[in-house]
Parts: sequence; C-alpha cells; structure tokens
Amino acid sequence: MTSRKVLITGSFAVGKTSLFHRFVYNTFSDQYLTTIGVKVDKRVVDVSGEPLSLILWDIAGEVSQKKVPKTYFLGASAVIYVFDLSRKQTADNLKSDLKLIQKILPGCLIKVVGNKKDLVSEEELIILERTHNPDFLTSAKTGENVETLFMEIASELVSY
Amino acid sequence: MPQQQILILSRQGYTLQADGALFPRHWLLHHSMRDDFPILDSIWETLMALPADQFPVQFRFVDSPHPVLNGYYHLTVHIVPGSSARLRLTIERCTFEALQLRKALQLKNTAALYQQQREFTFLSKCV
Ligand SMILES: Nc1nc2c(ncn2[C@@H]2O[C@H](COP(=O)(O)OP(=O)(O)O)[C@@H](O)[C@H]2O)c(=O)[nH]1
Ligand SMILES: [Mg+2]
Repeated sequence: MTSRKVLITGSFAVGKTSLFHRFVYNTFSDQYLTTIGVKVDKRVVDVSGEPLSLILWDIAGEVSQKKVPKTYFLGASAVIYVFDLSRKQTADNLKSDLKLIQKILPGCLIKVVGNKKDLVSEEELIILERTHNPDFLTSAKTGENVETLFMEIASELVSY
Repeated sequence: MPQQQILILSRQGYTLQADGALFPRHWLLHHSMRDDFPILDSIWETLMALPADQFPVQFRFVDSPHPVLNGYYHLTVHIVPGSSARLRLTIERCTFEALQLRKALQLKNTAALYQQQREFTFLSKCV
C-alpha cells in the first residue's frame, strides 16, 4: 500500500495533538496534556478507490520552528502548520516558519490551518483570514473541517 | 532492568545481531523493528537511501503505542559502513525521564497558555 508521511507542526497548545486524535481515533479531550518528543500513528483513507496510508507525526510544539529538530522533517510529503485562532501570538512566526520549512523540504505540500474555530466569532474569523490567509479553518473539538483537511491532503499527495 | 540495546538490522528491518538485553533475543528474532516502531517504518525508504554523511539520525522521546513496548524511547540510527546490513539501531528506554520532562513542560506551557488566553479575552473586550 502506498503511504505518505505528514508532519503536524506549530506552536504549543494550538491543537496539533487534538487534530491528530480527531482524525486517527475520532476523539477529543478538553484537557491539555503537553506532548513531548514525537508520536506516530496512521489512518488508511480511500482516494478515488485506492487505499492510501497517511502516517501522521505529532510533535512537541515549539514557539520557533528553528528549535524543531531537522530529523523530524525526514521523508515528509506534507506539513500541516497549525496556529490557534484564539491566540494571535501563535501566528507571529508564521511567515518565517513557512520559509524555513520550504527550505528544509523544497516542493513539499504545506497546509496552514487555523484551529479552534469554535472559539472565535464570525467577525474575528474574517479579520484572521485576511491577515493570515490559512488554507483551512478547523475545530478539533467539534470536528469541523478536520476530515476535509486530511482528505484534501491525501488527494493532493496522490496526484502530486 | 536494562535500559539500552544495540541492534544490527537487515534491509527489511529484522534483527541480525543484538547487544544488550532490553528485549529478549527470541522476541527480537521474530519482529521487524519496522512493525514495532511505526516511526521507523514511516521513514524506512528514506533511511535506506540517505547519504552516509547524514547519519546518525536521532529521535528523542519517541512515544511508542506498541502494547509490549509501551513507553518512551530515544532511537538513534547509525550507518554500518561496508556491510550489506545498512543500519545499526540504538534503542534507549527513557520513560521515566520523559514523564519528568512532561511534568515540567506541562507547568510551563499551561501557564503560558492561560496568559495568552487572558490577553485574547482582554483584547476582544476592548474592540
Ligand atoms: N475549544 C477548542 N479547544 C481545542 C481545540 N483543539 C484543541 N483544543 C484544546 O487546546 C489545548 C491544547 O491542545 P493540544 O492538542 O494538546 O495542542 P498541541 O500542543 O498543539 O498538541 C487542549 O486543552 C485542547 O483540548 C479546538 O478546536 N477547540
Ligand atoms: Mg501536542
């Protein structure tokens, strides 16, 4: 079976682990448990009749991507960069972080995700979208757009 | 309990040689490290093709979901020069250290999280 590695990165407590759990196990917890190191798990999805194994790497969040060990990027086909829509600081390094990721993994598929959509108002969303231009607005809590995010990555990786 | 083991792996990820007794030999014999550590499986082809000067590759605090290997490990992959088996894997159990580290990080991150959430509430009220 074809498999693709997807790395989930971004600042601490933005919801990386929650997105991982929502997609792989379809669960969510309000309790915050800090991730250390790295956890890898997978889910097989169907892309136009063909199975594709999405192997997700959930890593400890760093404020600056410069601190994320380079080895985590090894063999990654896609990177999900998550920020927290309810904490603007988590998008402070967005531009420079994306540049760094593009340098480490040239040509890699990158998706910018604003998570915790359930915590912000429609008005705020409009401003946040304009400022940060995310590819997806998700809520790991309600599950909104989580499936769409991963399925779009899966189909783009197949046609890549 | 022994905390470390060094394995020479075949190109399929099976153990050819083991040093140390973290896991019993008979058990290692029948297991591919690719099955035991999904993290290795997910980058196996990349590791096989990786230029020699990029080794060693290390992953610290790997959270293992494996029922038998439950816990945290530092994994270090070295290249074996001039051998048909390409990789040497060092597995170091670090569950205790990991839980200590998590406790410390949990305190630090939770405090920072509350601070940032407060700033957010304050700002939205001002607008
Ligand atoms: N309201 C809300 N809370 C979320 C959402 N995603 C994550 N959280 C909470 O945010 C905190 C940090 O989540 P976590 O997934 O551990 O963040 P990580 O450090 O990026 O892995 C936890 O308390 C989660 O319950 C979301 O979409 N909505
Ligand atoms: Mg996490």
